Amino acid sequence: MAVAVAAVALLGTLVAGCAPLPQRDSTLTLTDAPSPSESVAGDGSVNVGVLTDAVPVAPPTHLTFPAAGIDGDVDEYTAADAEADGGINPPRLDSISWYSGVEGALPGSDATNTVYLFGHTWTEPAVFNGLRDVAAGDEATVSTERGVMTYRVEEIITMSKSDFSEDPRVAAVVPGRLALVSCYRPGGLDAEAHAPDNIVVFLHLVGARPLAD
Amino acid sequence: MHTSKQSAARRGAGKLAAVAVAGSVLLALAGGASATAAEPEITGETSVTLAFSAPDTVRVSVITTNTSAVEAFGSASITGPDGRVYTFGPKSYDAGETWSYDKVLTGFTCADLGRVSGAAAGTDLPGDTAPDWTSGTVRSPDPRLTITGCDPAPPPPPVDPETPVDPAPVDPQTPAEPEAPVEPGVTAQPGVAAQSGAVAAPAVAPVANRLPASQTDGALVGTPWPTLGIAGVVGMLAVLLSAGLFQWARRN
Repeated sequence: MAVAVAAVALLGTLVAGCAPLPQRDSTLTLTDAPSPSESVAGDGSVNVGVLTDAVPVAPPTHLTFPAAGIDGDVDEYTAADAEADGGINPPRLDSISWYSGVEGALPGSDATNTVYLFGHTWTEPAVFNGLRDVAAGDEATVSTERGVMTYRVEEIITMSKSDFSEDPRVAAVVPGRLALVSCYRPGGLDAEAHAPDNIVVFLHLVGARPLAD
Repeated sequence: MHTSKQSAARRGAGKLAAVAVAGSVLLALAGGASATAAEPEITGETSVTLAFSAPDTVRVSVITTNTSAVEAFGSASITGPDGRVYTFGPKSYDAGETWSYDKVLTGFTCADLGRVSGAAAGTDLPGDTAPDWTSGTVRSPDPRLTITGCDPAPPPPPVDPETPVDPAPVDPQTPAEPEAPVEPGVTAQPGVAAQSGAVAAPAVAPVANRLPASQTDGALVGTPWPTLGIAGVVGMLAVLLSAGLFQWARRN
């Protein structure tokens, strides 16, 4: 009987053994601090000093975000997919889904709108599990068949899932912005409960490099 | 991030484009070949974008490209609706090279659009005071100015035929500022933009994107099986062990 009790205890440990990650409050963090490549004028303004080569907009094909442990290919997720799924639900835990249902949501040096990439978080390895670990200033790159765009984290927010679609910060038309979206559990990863919130990491385009001919 | 100048030069004609949010943009592009007619002409392009991405927050992005065939020098400044001026440069530009500048300002809303203006000018050397090229003031409405995140301006009220017409109609287009040479780094006078009076709102992008719900909870993709599988194995093991213990206890 003691063995059975031990086994049950072990079972409980396995189920509840996901240590909660540090909670992150909903914050609005606008970066205005210079990076090593920037200079600050005497009046406090920031000279980003970014050379932006012309890279025509094109669908994203790959996302690399070292601070979040993300390095994976990007697949298109259409408005029809979202309608069929009742929302944007990437097909696999390792899927990075680019939502193409927003007009102009294409990365490039002349981007006219926000690019939205979605990925899962879960108690098991999932592609966007590391989003909660990023901070303002971290950089990510998005590749297309035309070039590579570099983005810098400027804002990390969370909101109730029910508010996601209507949140003006999320829905805003912002040229050169990248939004990485996933689910968020305020108390940490819990296999017994679905995530009540969404996390959105906003990045802004800081560089573009065309692919060599 | 400063990518290769060679790649920029390959693009041929360059552009000097200035994108600014919440303020006036003063951009100076200087090229070193204006002293004689035989020298290449120094040219550039300027555009201004005001991006209201969060409440009371506006991003000023200044993108500048040297459209001339020779090396040039450029500088820029941005004057916010409150009259504060932010300066950039002067900076060296290779032919066809593009530089962009960003500035995030807080405390301003779409109501401040009319007090946003910009200008560009150039000199042949970084320290020169007489520009070879200027963009003129960039202020709404201007095709070089793009504004996002603001509602379009309401249509003008219908004209009452009984209302006497002002014999001196005002040009709805904001009068161009005198193309006064702008020294790199020299700021515009605070409040100049605010004195320009009301201006028509420019064409704006859609106010908001329409997004479906985000169903990114990993539980939704039907992969709790590894966890349940481990739990199941452990549970089964516990049952078997319990049964074994029970049988052993009965035999003894």
